[in-house]
Amino acid sequence: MTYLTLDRILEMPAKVSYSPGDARVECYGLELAIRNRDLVIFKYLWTDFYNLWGEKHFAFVLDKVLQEGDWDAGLQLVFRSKTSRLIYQALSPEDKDNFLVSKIVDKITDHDFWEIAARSPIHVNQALVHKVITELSYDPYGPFAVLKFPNLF
Amino acid sequence: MPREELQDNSKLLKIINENLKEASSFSESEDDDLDFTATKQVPQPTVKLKSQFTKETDSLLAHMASKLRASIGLFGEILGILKEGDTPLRVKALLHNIVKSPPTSLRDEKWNLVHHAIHLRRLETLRYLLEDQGCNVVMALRQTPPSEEYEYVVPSRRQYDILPREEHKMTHEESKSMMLEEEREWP
Repeated sequence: MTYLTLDRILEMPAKVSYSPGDARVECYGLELAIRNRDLVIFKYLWTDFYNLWGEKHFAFVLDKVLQEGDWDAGLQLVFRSKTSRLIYQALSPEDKDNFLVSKIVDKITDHDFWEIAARSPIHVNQALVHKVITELSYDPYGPFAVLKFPNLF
Repeated sequence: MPREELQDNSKLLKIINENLKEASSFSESEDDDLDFTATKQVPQPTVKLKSQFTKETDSLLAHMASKLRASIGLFGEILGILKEGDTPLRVKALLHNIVKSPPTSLRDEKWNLVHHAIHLRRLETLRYLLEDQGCNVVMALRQTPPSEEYEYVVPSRRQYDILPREEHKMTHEESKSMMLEEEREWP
C-alpha cells in the first residue's frame, strides 16, 4: 500500500463523489460552515434545525471540528448545543457507550485514526485532547464517560 | 257595466287577438328557420395533439430554466458584492422567482443557492431562503445532491486537506483477511 504524502494530498482537488446516505452528503452545508470557521452559520444550521440531525451527523460534525484543531468555539458548540445533547440523550445506554468509545474517545486517543483515516496535517495535540475531555466531563456525557473511562479524568 | 266600457273591452280583445295571431305566425316562421342540423357549422376548437402540447411546454420550461440559470450566476455575483443583511428588493425578487419555481425543474439551482449562501456567510440570505421563502430545508440541508453526477467542491478558506475514508479501496486479499479476523473475534 502506498501512502500519499502531504504535499500530494494538498494538490488534489477537493471533490467528494456522490454517495447517498453518506453523512458527508447530508452535512455538506455544515461542513462548509465549519471549514469557514463560521460559528454563526454553523450554530444556525446545527441548533435551529435540530430535528434534521442524528447520531451519524453528530459524529461527522465532531470529526470536522476536531480536524480544525484549535477552534474552541466550534468544539464547545458541538458538545454543549441543544442538538448534540438531544442526540446523545436519545441513545440507549449501550449506544451511549458505543458512541463515546467509537466516535469520541477513540478519535482523541488513537493515533492510527489520525494517521490513516484522517490524514490531517493538524495532529491531535495534548491541548485538544484536554479540551475534549473537559467537555466530556459535563452533562449529559459526564456520568457515562467517567464510569467508562475513569483514567481519562 | 257601461256600454262605452264594453265597447272598449271588445276593442281591447280585438287588439289582443291580432297580437296573438302575429305572435303565433312569428313563432312559426322562426321555428321554420331553425335548423337543428346546423351544429356542424359551429367552428370547432382546434385541439392539439398531446405530444405537440407537451413538446411546447417542455421547450418553454427549458427556456425558463436557462433564463433562471443565468440568473443564478448573476445572483452569485450580487451576493459576493453585497454586505450581510443588505439584500435589496431586486435580489429578493430574483430569489423569489428561483425559490418558488417548480421543484423538479430547478432542484439543482435551489440546492446550490442555499450552499452558496452558507459559503458566502450570508446568514440573512440563508434565513430568507430557509424560513421566509420556505425553501425545502430538508432537501437543501439533509438530502442528497441534485444528481448522481454531482461532485462536491468544498470551497474552504484553506485548501481541503483530508481525503474521504471511502477513497481507500481494499484489495480482495485485504478484505478476506479482515473478514477472517472478524470471524475469529465473533465466534
